[in-house]
Amino acid sequence: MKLELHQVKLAYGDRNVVDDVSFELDRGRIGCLLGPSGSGKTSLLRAIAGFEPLLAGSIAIDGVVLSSAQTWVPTEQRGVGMVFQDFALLPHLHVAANIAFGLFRLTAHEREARVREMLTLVGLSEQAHSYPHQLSGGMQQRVALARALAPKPRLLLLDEPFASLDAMLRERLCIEVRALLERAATTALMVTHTQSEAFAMADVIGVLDAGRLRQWASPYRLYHEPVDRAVATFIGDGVLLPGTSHEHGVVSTELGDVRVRNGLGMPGSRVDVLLRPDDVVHDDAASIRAVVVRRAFRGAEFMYTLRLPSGQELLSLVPSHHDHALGEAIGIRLDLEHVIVYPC
Amino acid sequence: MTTLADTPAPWRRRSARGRDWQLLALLLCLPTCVPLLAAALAWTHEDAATTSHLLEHVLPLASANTLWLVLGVVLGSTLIGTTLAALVALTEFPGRQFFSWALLLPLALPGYVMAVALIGLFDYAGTIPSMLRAIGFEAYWEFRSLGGLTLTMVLALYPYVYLVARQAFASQGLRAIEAARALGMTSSMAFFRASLPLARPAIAAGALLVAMETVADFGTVSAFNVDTLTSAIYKAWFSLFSIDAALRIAGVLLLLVLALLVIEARGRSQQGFTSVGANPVKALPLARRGLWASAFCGVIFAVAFLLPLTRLIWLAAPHYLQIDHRWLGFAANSLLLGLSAAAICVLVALLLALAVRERQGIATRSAHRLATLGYGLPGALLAVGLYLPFARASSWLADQFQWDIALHGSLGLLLLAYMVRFTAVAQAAVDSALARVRPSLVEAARTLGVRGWRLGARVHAPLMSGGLITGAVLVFVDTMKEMPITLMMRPFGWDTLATRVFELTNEGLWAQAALPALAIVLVGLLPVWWLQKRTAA
Repeated sequence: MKLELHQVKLAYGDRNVVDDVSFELDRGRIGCLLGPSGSGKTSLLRAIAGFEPLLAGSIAIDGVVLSSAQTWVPTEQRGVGMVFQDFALLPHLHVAANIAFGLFRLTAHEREARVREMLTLVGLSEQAHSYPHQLSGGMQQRVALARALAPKPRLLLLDEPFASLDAMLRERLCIEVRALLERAATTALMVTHTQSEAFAMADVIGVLDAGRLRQWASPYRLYHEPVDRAVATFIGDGVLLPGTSHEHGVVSTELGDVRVRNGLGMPGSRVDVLLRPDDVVHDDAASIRAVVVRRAFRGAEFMYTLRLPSGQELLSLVPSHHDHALGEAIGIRLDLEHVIVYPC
Repeated sequence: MTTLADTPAPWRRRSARGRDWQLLALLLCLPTCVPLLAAALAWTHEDAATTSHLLEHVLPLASANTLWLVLGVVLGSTLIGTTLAALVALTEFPGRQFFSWALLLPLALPGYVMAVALIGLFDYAGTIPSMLRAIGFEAYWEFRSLGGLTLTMVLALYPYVYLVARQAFASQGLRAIEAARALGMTSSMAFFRASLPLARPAIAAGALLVAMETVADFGTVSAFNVDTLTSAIYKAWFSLFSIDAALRIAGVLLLLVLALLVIEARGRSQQGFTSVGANPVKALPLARRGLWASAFCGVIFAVAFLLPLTRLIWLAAPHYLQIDHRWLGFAANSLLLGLSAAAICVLVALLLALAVRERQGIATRSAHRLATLGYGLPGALLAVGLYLPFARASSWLADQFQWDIALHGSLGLLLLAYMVRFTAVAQAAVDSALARVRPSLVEAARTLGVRGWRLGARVHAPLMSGGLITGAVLVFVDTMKEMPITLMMRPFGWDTLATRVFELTNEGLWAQAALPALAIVLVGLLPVWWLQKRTAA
């Protein structure tokens, strides 16, 4: 099983919502489309499900084209499962009947066995005969998941699966659902606008912005090697520190010289260096001093906003026993593993 | 830019399907346009004799009576309905629980049934004036007058105001009153300054509904023999045999109806009070004054429901032998019309709701709105406004093509008129039934491979059946009670319970009219029972 999107273009009337999107998702992997609302991520998911027609490009599973400008395989023949944002449970059916809903091709005996298996998988055996409105939000979501997985789809699509749940529940469920999908060895593609969900769930993340796929990479690479400024500022915290490039891959900044791998064009040109909060380390022995202008206590650590003499602000993640007051000047140094710079 | 040529197959299919829905929606609202146009254009052609007759002898009295009647009935029902609603929703007094639902029961008594019951009691030869004379009390107030009519219709129609006002008071809760009292007001000051203004949009909506019902009423005014615009239409048509004159009167009636519809549309756009706090109401105990509240509710309940009902039973009981095969025929006719109308109206409402869902846009929404406008059109107006164009069309077809099909005076045209008038009655229930089938449910079913008849049987049917039945019950009962359309448009010799009531009361045979009237009341209790059961479940 392999999902392939090739130069996909979607439009509502005259308005392009998705343009030139290509990516591949391998068997057993969990992918995630991350982007602000209106970025076209849900439209893309619905196109893969067969609810939206393509204007150009193609969507294929295992090399078989399901959607293109010329072809369109109906949703029910695609072998994709989907979990909806509102879960879309049928209110007049109890949990077991909801899970059995897509299993009408099986014999009664097989159906019963499969439903029992799914109930065990999602841990709802006790609630088999409860109705959706009697369940908590988290339980409803597990029913939706079980129902979508029951017919053994080739690909599972999840449309903002945690959006209607409260924040406390979300984090726990992300981990639970990921474990569940791994146990079921499902290939899945999820849509979300919340970065923490994407990081917790996905093997590979696609950042969508204004209908275009900015980057398709692992969470680690997305955080540490964002392809452009837009991705860099959208993913994670951080600041862009101005600098000047010199020969041999050296960039000079207010915090000293740093060495970069990628070529930077003409020496003397202006660039911005991406600094994550963990790149800026508190060190009392350091010569560079910065003033604390904001502090946010996060338990194990502080997130300090620091101001350099030039007025440039930095973010720094500091272990929480370093309790500094506002206005205090503290020593900092850079601890860079991979330096990312963007030409101005 | 996208053009049809370069859009993919499903897209094109979808938009073509959307156009079909749009066409269907426009077709379904066409029957509403016919009487509207016919009545609106009634005065455009020259006919000096009819015009001067109408202007001198008919319209001044009929218009004045109609206006006074609407004014009196709206004032009376608003006053009584709001008072009862405030008492039941905001205060605690003996019998409150019982009155809360019992005060709705008069809804089962159409105005003309109320008239059958009350006229025999209060007119000159009636029970109560006779008893008064027997004890030497000679003064008599003519009950069969505009005053008596107004009183009777207030008793029949106050539940419309009561229902919406009770809902408004109950949902706003005592919070508004508590907030006002925290600012130093007494509880009655708080009621008039906080609660009542908050409930005002709801009360206004109820009062408007009462106004529409009053304008549309035909049965009650005929029983009281008071000339209004609706009874004038009937008289012009069936006594003067001038259907042109009838249509002109309908044109005047249309002006009045349009004025009310404009007020309604404005009110709808301004309604926007949210409830203050969602706590269930904690009722205000009335202590000793509570007995006055009980007495007031009791009197209204007795006069508007107990008295007419016992009177009807008392009148009908000696006539139960009337129930012969002929009488069963009337009942069967009523039943057949009611069931057909229910099926047609629910189907049309469903198609309109689907069209609005499948094709969003101004065209389908306007069609939906226009089709439900028919409920605002008085039956008498609809009858003459549909009959005349179809009669003309029939004779034109006969002249031109020797097609001898009498479109007018057929059962089909009668059902078309019911469809125009009662689709709106089913629409709300049908719309909310369809709303239960959220698009994501259908999409979820499709990702699970369920489609076609299985989708309908396993998703749509179970989710919608309750709402569709509710819509059908409401239309069925309204059709059973309906008088002017049935009377004027039924095929020759096709009597129903409602037309029997009209004919018997026309001859002053109150006792004989009581039996069909009672049957209508019993059928009218059906939706009360059904809705109670549905909300309890």
